[in-house]
Amino acid sequence: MEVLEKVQEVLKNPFIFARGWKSQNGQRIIGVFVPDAPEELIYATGMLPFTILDGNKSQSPAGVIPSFTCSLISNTFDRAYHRQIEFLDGMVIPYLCDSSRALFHLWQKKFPEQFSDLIRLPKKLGSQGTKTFLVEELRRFKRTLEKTFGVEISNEEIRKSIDIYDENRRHLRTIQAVRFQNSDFMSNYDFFSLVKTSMLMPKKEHNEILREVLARGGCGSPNDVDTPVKVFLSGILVEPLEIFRWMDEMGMVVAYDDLAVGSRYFSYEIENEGDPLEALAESYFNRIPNPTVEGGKDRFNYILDRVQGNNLEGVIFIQLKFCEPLIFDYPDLKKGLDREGIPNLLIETDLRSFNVGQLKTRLQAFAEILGSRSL
Amino acid sequence: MMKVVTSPVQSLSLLKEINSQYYEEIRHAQELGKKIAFVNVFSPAELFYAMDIIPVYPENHSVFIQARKMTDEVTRFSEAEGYSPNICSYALCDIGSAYSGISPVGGLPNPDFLYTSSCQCSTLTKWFEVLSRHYNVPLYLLDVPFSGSRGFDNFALDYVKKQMNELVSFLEGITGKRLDYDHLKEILRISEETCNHWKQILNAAAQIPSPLTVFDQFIAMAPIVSQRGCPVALDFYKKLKSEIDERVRLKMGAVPGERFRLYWDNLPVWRELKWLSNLFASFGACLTSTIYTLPWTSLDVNPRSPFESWATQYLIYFNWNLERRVELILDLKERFSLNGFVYHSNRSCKMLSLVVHEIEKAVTEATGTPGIVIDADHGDPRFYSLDQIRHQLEIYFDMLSRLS
Repeated sequence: MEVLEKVQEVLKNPFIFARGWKSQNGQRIIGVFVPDAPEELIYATGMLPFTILDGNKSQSPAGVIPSFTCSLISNTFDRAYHRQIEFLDGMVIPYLCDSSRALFHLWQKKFPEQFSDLIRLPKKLGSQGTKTFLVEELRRFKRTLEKTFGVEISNEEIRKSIDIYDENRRHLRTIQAVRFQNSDFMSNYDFFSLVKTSMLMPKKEHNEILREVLARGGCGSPNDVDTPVKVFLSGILVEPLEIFRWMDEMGMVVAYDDLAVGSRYFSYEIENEGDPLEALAESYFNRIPNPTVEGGKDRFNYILDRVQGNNLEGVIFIQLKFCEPLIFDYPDLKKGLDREGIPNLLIETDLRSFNVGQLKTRLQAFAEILGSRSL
Repeated sequence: MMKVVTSPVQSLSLLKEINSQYYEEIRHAQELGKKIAFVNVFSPAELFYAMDIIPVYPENHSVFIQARKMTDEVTRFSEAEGYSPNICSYALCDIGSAYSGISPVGGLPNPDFLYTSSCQCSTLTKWFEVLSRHYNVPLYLLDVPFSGSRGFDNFALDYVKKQMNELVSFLEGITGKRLDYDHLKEILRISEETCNHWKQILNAAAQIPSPLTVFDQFIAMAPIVSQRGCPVALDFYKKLKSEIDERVRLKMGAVPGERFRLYWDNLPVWRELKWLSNLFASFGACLTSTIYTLPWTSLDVNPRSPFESWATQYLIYFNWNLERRVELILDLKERFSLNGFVYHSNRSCKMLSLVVHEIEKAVTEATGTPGIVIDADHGDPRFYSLDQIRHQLEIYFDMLSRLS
């Protein structure tokens, strides 16, 4: 399908795409550390929010960050250190965990000439002060963007930006729902390629791709497994995307997920009325429970609800090595699923080194267990 | 290693009794109608005591486990539960102890509730969530938004203050009692005096030779963490302070023939305190200052507006960003006449360790004195090698000797 060729071209080398976009449009690009940054505010300025999602394993470590650090953090830093993302005009890092906070401090220290900002997302949602704080933090961020780049961001522009983002999220949710009913609509690989490119491309352009995919009635799935097994995928991100291709071949359909580079990015819709910053803040209360916000039980209930409510066959936890938020949650999530008799598998990935053979064997074995159970 | 004859600080021997008394008391607290809270180290201990809540510190309990070389005995259990050793070893030990009941202090009672704050690190929140599910008790999280190196935001202060008020309601709900402000003030007064003593004890290390080492500080810190606001802690630090004063008067150094005065960054390596202490002494090196024991010098709370004080402390004082840590070290260098810097790249503590190499570079640039980064872990011996540490330090002291 032609429209997916564009997607694959962007994925092949996101940095070449970004440089091309910049020289064509003459606009700035702001790097975003995945996930949860209020991209809508950046987009409202005409700048491109561009998520630094590093799936490439081959690079020499910069030797600044110790080896016991999550590879998403160290790879992001190393990219900048080795001047591979020199096209960025700034970097926005949400405060998710200690490591993302350290990434911000290192960024300030090593690239002082570049704009960088730490967005302080609340760690708890239950205080009466949380919402007010978040609105004020978004306001601060907006003012910072205005001051740094000499722009003015009107409420009208933010609302427009939110609408464009909402359209993107809506299309992705539609595709997800259609895939759930008809797995031939689109492969795992193509779907998550769309999610990932949504974080790299300008949303307007990406919306056109999604519209076309839907208009054409999907793009088919390369495999013809008679009875695909439907699974829930839990974690932050799946890199490299190649893993989705294996799952396609193994007859596993990722029906639902709580990935940051997945449903957590598009699961919500913003009530775009009144003060747009309030609306944006409110949306943080309606997102998929995530490991960096207090409330471990919510994560379990969300997964259980999705799995049981949709008759999914099993759960795959995909963990980034050294990612503390995920490691702390995993044992109780697993025990809970075991109690419910829901098969589950843990796989660990490290963007710095990637053991293809072992990972593939374990996924294959899990697919076979699920396949034999569902007969 | 050459055995060095040191003159240990005598008052430290009082701690054995103080600590065992503390753990004995918490085991019987619930029988006496008191509540037990598991809390993080930077928490309003005085507020808990004022409400008849005994704060228990899983971090401290893990220190005992690690210092008594029991890490592998308990981590077997947490790893069997599915916890990866790639997390903080305090958490790994504590969870292992919670599951196995193994404890070097005779065990901990089940908590009535948990309190933690994100002002220290975000690891604690995840760890306490595990405890909350394990013990099936509520967790109160104080969410403290870090401002990085930018200035101070009033709206962040408002947010933390709001949560402090919510905390009081939460505690009143748990205990069924109203907070007695006069009682709180009395406890705050003791706490302030205790912190003052701690400050003076730490400042005494500026004397040449230094009357105490960072190792002494590490050993001495348990009461100021867990019993801040209690007379027993105040008594202890009074005694410790007068002994230190006496040592200053007699010019009695903690390390005989003190040649080097060093800064220690990050947490201790609890299991190796004795070994490291001897090793440094064998080079004539006294560790005089560390970021790790400093916070308790500034934990005094204004009795007229305690909640504002706490909120400000958590928000500003503990906002340890790279830049501030460098400033802090440069300040210590001046005040304590430091001529060397040891940085512990602590596998367990991502919060403090990810920027350690950059801090070392920045301090070296500013002072012209090189530092040394040693790879270790505050409590899991699987992740460091004593031979390697010794070898690194030999090279470092050789270099420092040639510089001086």
